[in-house]
Formats: sequence, structure tokens, C-alpha cells
Amino acid sequence: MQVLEREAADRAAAEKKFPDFQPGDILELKLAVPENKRRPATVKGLCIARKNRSWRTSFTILNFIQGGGPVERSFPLYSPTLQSLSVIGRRKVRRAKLYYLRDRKPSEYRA
Amino acid sequence: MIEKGSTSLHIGNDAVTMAGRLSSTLAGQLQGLCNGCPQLAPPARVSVGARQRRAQLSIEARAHAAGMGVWATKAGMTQIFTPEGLCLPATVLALEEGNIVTQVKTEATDGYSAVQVGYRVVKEKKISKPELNHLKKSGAPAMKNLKEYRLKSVEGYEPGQQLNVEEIFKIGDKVDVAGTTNGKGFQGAIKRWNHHRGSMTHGSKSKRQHGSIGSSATPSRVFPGLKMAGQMGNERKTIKALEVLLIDVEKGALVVKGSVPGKPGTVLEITPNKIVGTNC
Repeated sequence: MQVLEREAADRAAAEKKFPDFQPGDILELKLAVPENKRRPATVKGLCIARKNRSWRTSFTILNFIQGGGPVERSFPLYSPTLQSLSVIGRRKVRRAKLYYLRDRKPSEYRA
Repeated sequence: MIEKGSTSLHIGNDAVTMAGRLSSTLAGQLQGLCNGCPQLAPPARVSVGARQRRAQLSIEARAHAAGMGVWATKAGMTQIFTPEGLCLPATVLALEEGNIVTQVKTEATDGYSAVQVGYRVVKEKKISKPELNHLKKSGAPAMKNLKEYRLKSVEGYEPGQQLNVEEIFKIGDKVDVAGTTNGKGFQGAIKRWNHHRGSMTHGSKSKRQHGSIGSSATPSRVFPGLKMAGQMGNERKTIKALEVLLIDVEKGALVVKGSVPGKPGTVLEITPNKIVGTNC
């Protein structure tokens, strides 16, 4: 099973070539939206967690949308809907998981 | 004999005729009696004698497997993405050395047709000598697990044959997975049967107790099968109609959608999905 997972992860990694990122990075994602003929939708946010589990690696981004409120979304890294991922900024952090930002003011985590 | 579709119900013919004869003679006698004294009402239950001597029923419906099955070992769970982007929970089942036909039973030799399959090749000293010699008859190596599948036709199966999973299952097929569940030990009614908890405060004396188990003088007993505390898990369970997502014979992997009993290392039986009344 480990063989299968590793192979799948290697294959996906070779296909997609995502930059290395860590919590505290501000990410910009392009997602294929099946409801909208797979046109890409852009999602921005501060990465507050990254769960390294080989093929099942996922990450969480947090952002504040004007008039909408706080938005927290989790994505599997190797999901086929995730078309591109780029790091557009970096924040100095001293934690691996930035869950405390949920309780802070939006100005502290707005991307 | 009653036949409906592929399901069949066989009743021993001799027994039926015997019972029939008995009831007819009984009825005849009673008829005679009634003729003799017409004011006597005929007894309501004529077939009492027949019922007492009811012959043994041999029911074949549901006895057959839906098709040939294989053994596998649970490897663990992962996730698989569909092209649409859905993330499916998936269990990887490892196909270890084995899945060798050890015996083919036919109507002529054993009275029914079945294929016996062995799994988990081990050292010869790990199994008993009678088992070993049974396996040697078919030329199979020493194997720990044996199971037979009752099939309507055993054509194409030879003792000593290595089963090919790709021929038995296709991607998208539905399968039943049977095995021993994780043992949870002696558990209370809350965990075992999802009962509700009592109040933890306000002087409550029934915090995690089960409730009442019945009435008083009537029926002055506890009904069988009542949900109470006891051993939970470590029993055989079948998970039905799981979809096959991937088959890779080279790597020895069969991936099904959803979860299966047991933990990594549990030996499982995988058969085509059995739907009573349609395919068995």
C-alpha cells in the first residue's frame, strides 16, 4: 500500500510541480469549478496549516472577504481540481499550525 | 419442487408423497367416520399427523455464492480522486501469495458443486498433517486459510490453478467483503448499541446504565435478544456492495471504495456482490 501511495504522490508531484510552501505563506490557488465548465476560479488566503501525509497531503487557507466574513478552506494538495498554486507572500510565524489566527482580528490574517 | 427464476427450493420428494398419502388416508378415514354419524362435526386440523412427521427440508436457495471469490489482506486506507475532482475513501487490499484452487467438488463426487480456494502460503510445519496432505493432493503449497465457494458450475477450475483476480473482478464491479471486525472487548450498552446516557448530575444514579429490561410479573422473564452490555467486535461481518476502484495484479493490489472490517493484516474474503433472488 505504501508503494501505491508513494507512486501516486510521485506521479502527481511530477505532473504538477507545486512550489514548496509552509504555514505563514500567502497562497493563490486556481481551482477548476465543475459547475462553471471547469473555468478556473482564483482563491487567495494565508496558509495556516499543512498536513503532510504523502499522497493525502492537505493544507488549509484562511482569508477575510470584504462583506463576506472570514473564510477557511481546506484542500487536498493532489486534488485534480487544484490547477495551480503560487506563493505570493510570506509572513513571519513561529508556529506550525496558525489556528490562533481564527480568534484574532481579520486585519492580522487578511491576504 | 418449486422453481422461480434462478432460485430453487427442493423438497425431498419421498417425504412429500409420504405426507400426502398420510393426510389423504387420514382424511378418508375421517370422511368415513363423518358419513357414519353425520351430526359429528369434522375435525378442523386434519393435517396434524402430517405436520408431526414433516420431512427434512433441504433448501438450496441462497446457498450458492454469487460467483467465484478470492482472498485478500487488508493493507490500509487511502483516498482516490475521480476525474471530476471528487475524493473517494478507498481501502487497499493486498493480494498475497495464495488464491490457489485446492479442490473442485462436483455433484458426482460430493453431492454439490464447489471450488475450494487456499490463501496465505506458510511453512509446511505451520499447518497440521491432514491439512498438508489434503493440499498436496492438488499440488498446492501449504496454506493457512481455506474456503469453498458453492457455484452452479465449476467448469474451468482445476485443482492447483492460480486464480487471476483480473478475470474475476472488473473495475466498477460491486463486491462483498467479509472478515473479522476489530475486537472492542466487553462494552456497555451506550457504546455497543448507541443507547443514550442518563444525566451525569442532579443526583442521577443512572449515568451509563442501560434502562429497564422489561416488565414485572408478566412475562416474569427477560426477552431473548435484548440489547445489553457484552462482547463487541471480533466477529465476522460482511460489508456489501463496495465498488472496485482499481485492480493491479503486478503490485498485488485490489482497491475498493469505502471501509472494510478489521485492521491492516486482517484476512478478508472478497466475493461478487450477492443479491438474493437475482444472482444466487
